[in-house]
Amino acid sequence: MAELAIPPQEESVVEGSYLENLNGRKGITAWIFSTDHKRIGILYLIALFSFFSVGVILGILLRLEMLSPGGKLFSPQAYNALFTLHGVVMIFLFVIPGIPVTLGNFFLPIQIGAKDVAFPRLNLLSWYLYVIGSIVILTALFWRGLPDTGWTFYVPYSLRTTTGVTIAVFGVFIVGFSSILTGLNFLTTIHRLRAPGMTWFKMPLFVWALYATAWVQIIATPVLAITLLLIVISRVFGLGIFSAAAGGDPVLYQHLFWIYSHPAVYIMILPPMGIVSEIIATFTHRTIFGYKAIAMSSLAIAFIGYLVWGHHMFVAGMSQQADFIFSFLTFLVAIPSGIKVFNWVASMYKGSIDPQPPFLYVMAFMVLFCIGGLSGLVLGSLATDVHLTATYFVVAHFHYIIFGGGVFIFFGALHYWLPKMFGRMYNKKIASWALVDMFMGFNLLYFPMFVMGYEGMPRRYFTYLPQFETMQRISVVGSWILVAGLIVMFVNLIHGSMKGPRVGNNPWGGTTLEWSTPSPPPHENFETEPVVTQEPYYHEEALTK
Amino acid sequence: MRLLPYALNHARAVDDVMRFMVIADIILFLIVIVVMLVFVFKYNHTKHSRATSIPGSVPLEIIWTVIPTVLVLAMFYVGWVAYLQIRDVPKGAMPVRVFARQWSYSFEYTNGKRTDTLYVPEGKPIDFLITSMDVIHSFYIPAFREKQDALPDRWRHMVLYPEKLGVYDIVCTQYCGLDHALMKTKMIILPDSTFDSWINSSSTADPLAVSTKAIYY
Repeated sequence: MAELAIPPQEESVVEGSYLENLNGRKGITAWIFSTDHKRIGILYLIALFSFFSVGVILGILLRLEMLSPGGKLFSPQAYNALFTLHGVVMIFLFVIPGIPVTLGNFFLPIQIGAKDVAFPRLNLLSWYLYVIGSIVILTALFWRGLPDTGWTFYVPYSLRTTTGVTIAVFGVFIVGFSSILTGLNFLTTIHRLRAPGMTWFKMPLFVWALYATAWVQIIATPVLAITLLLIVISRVFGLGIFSAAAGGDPVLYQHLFWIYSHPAVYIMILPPMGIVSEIIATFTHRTIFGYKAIAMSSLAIAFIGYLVWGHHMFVAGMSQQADFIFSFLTFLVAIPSGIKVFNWVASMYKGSIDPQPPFLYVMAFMVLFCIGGLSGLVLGSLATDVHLTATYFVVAHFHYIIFGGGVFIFFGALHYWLPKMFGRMYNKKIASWALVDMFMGFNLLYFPMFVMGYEGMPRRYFTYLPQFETMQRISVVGSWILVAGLIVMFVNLIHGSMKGPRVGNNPWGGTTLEWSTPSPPPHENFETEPVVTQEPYYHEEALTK
Repeated sequence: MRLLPYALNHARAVDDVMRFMVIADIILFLIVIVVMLVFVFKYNHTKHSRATSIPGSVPLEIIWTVIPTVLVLAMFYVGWVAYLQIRDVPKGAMPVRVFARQWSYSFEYTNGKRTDTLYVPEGKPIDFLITSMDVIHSFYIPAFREKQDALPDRWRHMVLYPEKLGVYDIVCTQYCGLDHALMKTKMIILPDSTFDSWINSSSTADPLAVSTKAIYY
């Protein structure tokens, strides 16, 4: 940690940059009333990573309970509430808003050569909706007691429990609007505000990924909103739509919930996939391999991703036809993800690879995402899914995808774009070692869960049978190693953003538009409006074939 | 890896599907990761200072679309075939009703007898008819690689072949409230003759059976 003590350089804000306050506003009001997409991106970053820290602390506590069988640390009620809160905070307040609202907000307009998003005030409203929704969710903590339903709010349990489900669900409902409006904003921005010369196939792949994501946000999120509202109405007014006794159907809830929540997985993973393409193109110093295949596979994932929700319900007792079709489609959705992976590897062929920290994150992503994706095939298969669903195997699978895939790239993207956002650099050596530590901790934490799941360890248990003790303990130790790396990484990033040495406008040799503007970018992003003539990853020094 | 004990054909079938998929997964994983590592070392900028921009290759895109498609369809097919074993109810299967409630199971046999521990005869397919008396549960027997959700006011089937005498864990895998983690019992597979004399004795008659018998039979 001694290397953190980099001597501070000049302290003042770069003149003309977005970090300089405008209109005589000072302090926090200069930020929370700003409609500058870059400032809103930073506001989201602060909010999201605050909730991420909460989610991590909850996760650590959940693991700690597993140190020995018998559940000595928390009461069953407390444990059930903690895993619910861990899920709600991580899913709805961190990974779903995730990369789009933070780095998407910051870089989407810049990457397409625009001054801002299409609706800047709507963008600020989205942030307020997000904050208000989060506060409503957390109100459940103090008002009615934490929900103990799991983040999925399955009926009829969620209708029977006396905990604060109504409040928490209403909070998620509000947060949903933030997501819908952001999606709408981004779609309009991409359609209307591209710089002269930026045709669809000259857009950076991160923009393509955000485009596909925005469609999912707009089309799928209203289904969640309606479903959650139905829970509220059922709880408050006794509506019988999910009650079999009243002629409704509890499985209908699961359909509605997963019609949103499965596409939501693609809201979580498509933006990181876009960033992987950006980072690979920059650090290999060559163009991306299969640009169109990567762009179109994002759309294919977004489309097929709508049609696979039933694979969460293979043991709920759907018809055999439904099981057949959902399993079949689930296998098909694996193919566009595979196409991306193959193109990424091919993009390294004959590159001139400079493995800086962001690129190391991509390498870690490739390992973790492949393990997560391939274990997903095992769950897509009917016979094995019946055995493994709702066990630790599923827990391991989605943590590999969402945390190991999505969130690791979120971190990698922060390492990639931090010099652009703040004009300063973090300590690269510390960044690399923090990643190595996190990578080891992550695998120790989650890989044993595959084994335990296969051996029949169900999820959401506050205790376990003695035969799982060794594996559980390895996993607990892994969580400590992972968190140590997380802390080092965050300290390094925060320190770098405020006190790190100044760097030039293009420290990595990137080719997309954000690297052609000053660091940190000026208020309206570009000094003169850019005109696009080349494909996004045109490296002039590279040989062409 | 410590494997669960084999208990019946279906578990073996599931494990065969699992083995096929895990081996295929490991091969795919190694191809991607090894090739990536080779490129990262071979084309490191210190050794390879000038990159070549290759925009893509249609034949390669076709190859790595078609081969994985064939592979995942094979995975789909073997998973589907093994899955039908527990869904298609064979003729002559012995029905057993499974009642799940917060936080215990009870079982009802054709003659109305009720127990909290599941007893089944060796060698005869069992047709479980599963329901819940309150929230959703999931009836899971890990050694048999089988589970089925228990839904209120609905009946769902699950077929099981008790081939080997023994005692097996039954747990709940659908989160159902406070003591979800403690909702468990045992399945005991008895020799056919022992089961027959046990089922016909009236020693552990359950008063609940009378009321539900009137409703469901």
